[in-house]
Amino acid sequence: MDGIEQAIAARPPRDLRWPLFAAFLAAILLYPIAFGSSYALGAGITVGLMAIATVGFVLLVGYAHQLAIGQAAFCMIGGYGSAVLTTRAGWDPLAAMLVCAPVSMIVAYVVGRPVLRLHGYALAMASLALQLILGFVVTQTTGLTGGALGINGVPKFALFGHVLDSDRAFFTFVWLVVALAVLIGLNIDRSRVGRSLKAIAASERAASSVAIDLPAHKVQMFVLSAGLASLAGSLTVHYLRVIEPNVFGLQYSLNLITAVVAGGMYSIWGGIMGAAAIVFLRETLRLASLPLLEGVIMGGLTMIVLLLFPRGIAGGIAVLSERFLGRAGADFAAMPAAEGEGAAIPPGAATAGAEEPVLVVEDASRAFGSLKAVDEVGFAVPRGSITALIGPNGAGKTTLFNLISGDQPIDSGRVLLEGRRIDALSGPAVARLGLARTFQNLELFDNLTVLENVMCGCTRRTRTSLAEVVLRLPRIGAEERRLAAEARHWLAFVGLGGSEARTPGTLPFGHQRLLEIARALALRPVLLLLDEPASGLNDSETEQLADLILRIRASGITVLLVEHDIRLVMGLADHIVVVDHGRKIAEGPPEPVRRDPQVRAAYLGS
Amino acid sequence: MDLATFDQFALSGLVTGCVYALVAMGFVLCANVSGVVNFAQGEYVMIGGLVTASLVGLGVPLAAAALAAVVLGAALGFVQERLTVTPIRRAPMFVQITVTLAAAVLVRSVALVVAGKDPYGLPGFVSDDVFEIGGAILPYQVLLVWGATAAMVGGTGWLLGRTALGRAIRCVSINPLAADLMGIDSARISTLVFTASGAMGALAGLVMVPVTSVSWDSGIEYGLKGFTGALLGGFRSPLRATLGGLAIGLAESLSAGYISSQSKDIITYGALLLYLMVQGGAFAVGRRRGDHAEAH
Repeated sequence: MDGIEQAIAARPPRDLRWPLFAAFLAAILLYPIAFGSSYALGAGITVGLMAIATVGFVLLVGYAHQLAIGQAAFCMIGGYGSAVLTTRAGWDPLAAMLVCAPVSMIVAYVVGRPVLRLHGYALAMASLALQLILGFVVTQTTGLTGGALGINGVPKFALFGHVLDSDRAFFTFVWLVVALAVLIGLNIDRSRVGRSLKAIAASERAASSVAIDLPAHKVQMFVLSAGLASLAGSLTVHYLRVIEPNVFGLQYSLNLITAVVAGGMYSIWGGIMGAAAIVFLRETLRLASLPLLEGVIMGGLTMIVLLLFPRGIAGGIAVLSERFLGRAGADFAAMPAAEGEGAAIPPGAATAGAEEPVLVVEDASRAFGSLKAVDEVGFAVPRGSITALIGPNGAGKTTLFNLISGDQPIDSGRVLLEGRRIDALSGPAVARLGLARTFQNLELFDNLTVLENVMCGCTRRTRTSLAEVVLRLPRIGAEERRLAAEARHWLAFVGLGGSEARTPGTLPFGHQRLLEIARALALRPVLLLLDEPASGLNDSETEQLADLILRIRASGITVLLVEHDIRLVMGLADHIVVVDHGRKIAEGPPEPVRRDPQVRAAYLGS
Repeated sequence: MDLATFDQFALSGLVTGCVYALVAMGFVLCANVSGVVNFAQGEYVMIGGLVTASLVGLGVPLAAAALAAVVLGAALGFVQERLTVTPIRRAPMFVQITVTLAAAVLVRSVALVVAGKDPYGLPGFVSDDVFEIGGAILPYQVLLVWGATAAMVGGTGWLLGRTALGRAIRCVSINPLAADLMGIDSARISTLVFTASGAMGALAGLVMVPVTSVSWDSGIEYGLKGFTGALLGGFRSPLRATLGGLAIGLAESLSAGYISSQSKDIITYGALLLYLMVQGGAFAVGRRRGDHAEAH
């Protein structure tokens, strides 16, 4: 659907994040002074408690594109954990809360790690099952959790022994936790993790091809969102002073979903706006004595917003501010190249002398039913060569390409990259070992800038942990500058210097192809696989491409290309492999291959 | 082990299992033709039961009430397909899930507002008597449940396997684009399948009311368990999905009987969770590429 794609593709208007965050902190401190009534404070606390969970949920839904229907399961772990530990074991509330959050995160990891490898509805269902199981468990273990009646007399929250007695103090604390959640979200948004998540959202295949580990990124967001949901659950219990199974029942989970949808799931701030909208709606229904309508309104609202305004309230505000404040370029474009780093990128591959071939394919076979698409094909790609894989339509080139790149499983035979077997490895694992590729029908990340596209290619060499990203430690800034400088180098290398801040969709087709090559080069591969790079290019663009491929080889990267354009291949390649009907019919330097009668027969018909 | 008790549990399980089986079949048929997993599938069952029971409560003759419920179920399936499935067919998966889930929330909430919180029941359609089979004692109504299920599953199987329309449905399931190019209107097929699945869900729901009472929130349980059945059946073949649904009904009834009545939901949902985790390779050593080719 256009609206949704646009929403995903849209860039945020100028970098207002930090001024906004400062204003937000000021608002937190001023609100209790300006609105001192217990009603206003209570409403503020209720919104804040939910916002802690929804800001985390935005990371899962809007960034990782995964829906957990039973997200309140983690509120339940936090809520019941805190209630049990403080009332039954006499724990300090802060300690209880800080113990429950990691427990929730571990549960999320144990469930999410396997389930997030599956189809998109798996997490939705698994989390719903988890919530229902937890619901039954807390109603059954009457001794510990009070069963259906729940636990009364939960103490007020306390910080290092100081009870937060006044609503004012509790309000401030809750909203500082919200601010922490927002900070985490914003740090992720502008980090390599945020970039990778957007890349995954745009094209999972292309993200795999630059060694982005798809399940790992989704799991990280699920675990973070579970931790925040748990904090929300703990604090809510200390505010309500009671917990029973319905507090974090299915309705709460559904409200969280409505909140992130209505607030705007592609924006961290959307989480807060959504929480405010939900609390406002519920309060209005309560005052109008129509609490039964809650489900009708929430369900209807979710549907209408998703179908008509997929970016929610936050998206609406972004559109308005764009209209009045104008757009600004992405911040990476303005980032200065780090001193001395951009210029001196070492050549891609360590060419470490060895004369062994970079890639060896041995007796590779792949059948689809009774059709042998690739039948015991073996060849080698000599180090430092430009090797071409050619053959008539339907010869099995693409299948062979996919066997090498990790897109398809191999039936029998072996594929070795620098002596290491890669035929059983997944796409990202193959990419990590130094095999980069491009796509015949371009797969660019349209929701990122040109520079960010190439930076995604550099992700393989990042050394910082998620914890550092979340806290944005100084190392992150340095690493980002290094990645940007390196990405700029590769853009200049393919001749796209100056286009850094544009989005890929605005580039001419030929340039998009170059951009894909730059992104692949950013992996600093030992072998670059080009899938019909000349298709769709005109003559002068093809010439430029040939020149670029020669320069790539000169920089020490071996090239394997699958190509239809025989002229390009004959002029460029120094080693040619010809396949037909799934079998190799010739291999060698261009001249002998060209004269080979079998090759002539395959191309011209016998 | 007492065989009569076992029979009792097993046969009761095969009654509830019929509803799960029909929901599972609906899940798979709808997902295949539209590419969207419809999370409102269980709500059709609830609507069928609730509408019939409340209309009968208002004095409407049973046959008319049942007809109204089936028509409403069909209408719901139709509207849902047009409104919440067609516009999002190419949206990311999580958006599809959220939209159909919201549709489910809307339907059940409207049911809550209109019919209230209390569960509804009905007397047996033909008689409230019971009969004995293999030592198990069952109400005559279960024969209706079995008959209706057999008719619907058999009819669907016949339709899919033996008719031109069925062939068109299977074509759309495999490749809607290619089906369109062959002159099959895949959009119409999708609408048709949703409508039929709404009607069949409602019919399953209404014959079930005399056996198990129905309330506004029954749909989620039918939906989740039907989904689990579809998953067990591989989520591709409608007939295998029905077997999965029956298996869930059987497992849940046996665990309720032999372990405890509270345990049955934990066991079903636990099995669902565990199944997904195992599928995702939670306990696998050395996975191969392509194992989850459909995962992304």
